[in-house]
Amino acid sequence: MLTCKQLIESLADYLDGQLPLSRVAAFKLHLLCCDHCRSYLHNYEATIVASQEALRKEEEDTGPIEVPEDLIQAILKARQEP
Amino acid sequence: MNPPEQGKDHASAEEQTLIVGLRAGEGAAFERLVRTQSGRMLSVARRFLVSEEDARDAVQDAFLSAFKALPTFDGRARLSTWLHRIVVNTCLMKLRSQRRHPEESIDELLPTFLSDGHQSKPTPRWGETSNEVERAETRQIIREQIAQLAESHRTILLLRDIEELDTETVAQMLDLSVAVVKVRLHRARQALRTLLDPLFGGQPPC
Ligand SMILES: [Zn+2]
Repeated sequence: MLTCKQLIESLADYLDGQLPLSRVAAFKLHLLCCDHCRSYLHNYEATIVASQEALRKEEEDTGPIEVPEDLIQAILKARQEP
Repeated sequence: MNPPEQGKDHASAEEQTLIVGLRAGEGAAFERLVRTQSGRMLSVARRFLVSEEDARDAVQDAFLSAFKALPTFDGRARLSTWLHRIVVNTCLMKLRSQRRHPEESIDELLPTFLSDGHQSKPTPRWGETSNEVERAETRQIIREQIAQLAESHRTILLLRDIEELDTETVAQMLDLSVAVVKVRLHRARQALRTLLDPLFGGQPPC
């Protein structure tokens, strides 16, 4: 029987579809009877989605970033230097 | 409503004009490129690099590489996508060239187990997080927590989960083994999960 530790260690591979077929059954069986690991998987997946949302919508949240004028000028100046 | 972008990854007519200007070496075209794209690039650089000075340097270096590479830009990708890739690479080069400073261990953010392999503390299940994540304040907190992650782990989380690069590519970019990339990604997600616990209704950390 798979332990919680073993299950949690293989979460990323499982979600990537990279868990060997021979281990998928044991993984699913453990999930069926372990509340903690079901919660852990749920929270783990939610973490990934939340981080993606948060960064994808950064511009929407903060508005266009003000770039310091001296940086813009430095970039334009550097282009003209040999 | 904005009209749907035609062929999302293709350069628009407006962009084609800009590219022509850039290739002709017109100063105004370069200025327009820098003014329209640098904000987004700076915000990407700030995710990877903690120091504001490094982030600005990375944006400047990225533009200079882009200017040099312009003759090879084939216009099949959008300029913004192309510049995005360049600034990510520039940030990674910067990280690699910097001397590694000792990092705080993230072990205390990882789950613990009893000797029989069971979780030593029960994991309270979060409710549905999607409504929470629709709030801008929640997203701000999440971004702050991502920034809290140790650099070696944050970098991999950003490349895998946000940039959606595959494990092999990330391993090559960072000169690490595939196994190390996998372990760090998993730990980074676990650590972030712990950091988000108070936000999503798990138990407060004690
Ligand atoms: Zn379990």
